[in-house]
Amino acid sequence: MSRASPKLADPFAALGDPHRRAIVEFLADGARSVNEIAEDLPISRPAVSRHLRLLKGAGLVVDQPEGNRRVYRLHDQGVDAVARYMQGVWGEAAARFRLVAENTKEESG
Amino acid sequence: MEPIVVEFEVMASPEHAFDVWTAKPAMWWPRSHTVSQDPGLNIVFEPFAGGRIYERGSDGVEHEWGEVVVWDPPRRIEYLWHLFFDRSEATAIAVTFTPLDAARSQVRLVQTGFEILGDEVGEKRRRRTNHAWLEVTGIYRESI
Repeated sequence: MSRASPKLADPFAALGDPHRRAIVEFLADGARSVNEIAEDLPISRPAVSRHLRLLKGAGLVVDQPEGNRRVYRLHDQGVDAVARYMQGVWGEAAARFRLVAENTKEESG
Repeated sequence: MEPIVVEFEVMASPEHAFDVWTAKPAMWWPRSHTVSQDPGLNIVFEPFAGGRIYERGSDGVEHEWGEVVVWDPPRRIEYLWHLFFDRSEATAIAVTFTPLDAARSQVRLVQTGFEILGDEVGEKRRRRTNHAWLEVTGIYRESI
């Protein structure tokens, strides 16, 4: 996947990294700053920032200023994320559905 | 919020497609996106309006997924869907099966009502929705 892609990144791809999944899990407990996230993960602050940028690009998290710092939280109660997740599930389900429907016999009756 | 639309052709009659969709979902629904992920689980659509949609593990434990709203074989099924979410957070799914010729059908799925997940800004709902999202993330992690 190209980092320069102007399109929103695929949330499934965004979740393909264990640190990004860990970040999403932290944010499920509430908004956190980059520093707070970095304290809980064995990776550097710049690395956390990179992951957050990617998660933001995939529509999974949003950031907002809070006092003199910036905090990140899951996107709008995860609505977009859930819709995107469902889109991915339906894609996979539809492909599997076709395979089954096209390789099973109609039941007589 | 835009509805999700998934549309594709299948080499099957509407009758067969409807049957596979509603009577054999465990054969094609990705197991990674079930509550129990039990390899022996079954997925049930009760075949009438008001019927339950649920998964049942081999241990007999059931998890509610939704409720049939319109049961109109072989052309149409509509259902409420709240897998991983609270019942009050159900979205609506309509699936139609339209014959294209003797061998092929068009399947069109429309999922609407995602607004319900965002309308209220209550902390309780936020926590619940986040919890559901966490479950989704965990399931994704297990599935790769």
